[in-house]
Amino acid sequence: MADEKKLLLKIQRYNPERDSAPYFAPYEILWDDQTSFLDALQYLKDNVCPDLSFRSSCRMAICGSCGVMIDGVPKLACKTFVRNYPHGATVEPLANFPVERDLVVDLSHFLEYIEALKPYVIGNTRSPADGPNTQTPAQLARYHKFSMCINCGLCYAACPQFGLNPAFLGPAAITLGHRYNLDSRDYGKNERLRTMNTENGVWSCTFVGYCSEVCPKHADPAAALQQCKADSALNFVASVLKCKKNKEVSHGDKT
Amino acid sequence: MATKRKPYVREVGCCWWKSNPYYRFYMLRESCSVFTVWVSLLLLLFLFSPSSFAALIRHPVICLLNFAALLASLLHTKTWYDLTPKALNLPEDKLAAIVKWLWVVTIAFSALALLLSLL
Repeated sequence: MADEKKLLLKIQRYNPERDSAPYFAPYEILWDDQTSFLDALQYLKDNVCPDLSFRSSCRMAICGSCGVMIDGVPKLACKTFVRNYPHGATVEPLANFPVERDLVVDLSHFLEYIEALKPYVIGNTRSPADGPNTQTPAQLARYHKFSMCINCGLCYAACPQFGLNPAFLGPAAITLGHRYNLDSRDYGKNERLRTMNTENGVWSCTFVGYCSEVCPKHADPAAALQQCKADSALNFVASVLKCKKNKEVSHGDKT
Repeated sequence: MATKRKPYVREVGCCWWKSNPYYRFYMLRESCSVFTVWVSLLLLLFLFSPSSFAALIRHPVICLLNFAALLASLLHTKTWYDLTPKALNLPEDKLAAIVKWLWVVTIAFSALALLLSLL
């Protein structure tokens, strides 16, 4: 760090054992053009405030652990550079999630929603003896974008609907479900649609679109949600028609 | 041992949308629907009382409101067509062509409607 400069970061602190509410504390950091916000947080933890809590792991925008709000915008701390904030910045925990301590949030809801949408191949009876399950580039292209999600939760922090209604399944979980719905090797679409069709499923989305804007991997959750709405509507029409047909058949049986 | 957890839940206020320019534009986009309601009411009036409608639309305030409704519908059309590709899982080049054709059809239909109303 030959060309070191100083910058003021306001970091939200919260110690559940001591504080009744979070507060901002100012910290001065040393930085150069290669310093990321994660580097800055680690510098503070190592040199200034060892009790500062934040999550991180890979330092290369793959693990999705270090999501924080930087100047009110959801960002990955490892992928955001201090050089772009020459006048200082505020660092807060991800919005719309309960704060556990400092920059650490409780992601339990988010993880439960992902689990609820079964993001894995369902109903494929092929065994290893059958050989590889081939897929054409066109079939891959249908879901490839949506498979980029790293579960970082930035889209949840960007979604006002999730903020207003924490029961909403939210962008990432639905995107991951949709990714498997579009996979030619999967047969679990109807199973996932049962969850997606619910009140807190796709129809809670009002297409603000900010989720796609903040997604660090360009997974485009807003697109997945809109496509799921179309699937959900078609599924509803199909179920009504099927119900009508079944009624006619049962009436026919009676006569 | 009792837990020392005390998760802090930040309340979302009714003015959440004011904090971010993206949210502000979203609210502007959605508020276009108010003008759609206005035009619908005007059309209902035309349906049930054409003479009152003809007298009303000449009023300067109504002209201003209708002009605002035109701008709002243009903004809504622009944002709607910009967002259309998200709802379609198609290759990029096809999406660009679809949006172009949506504009062509909209402009052609609007020109035809204007022509018919002037005849």
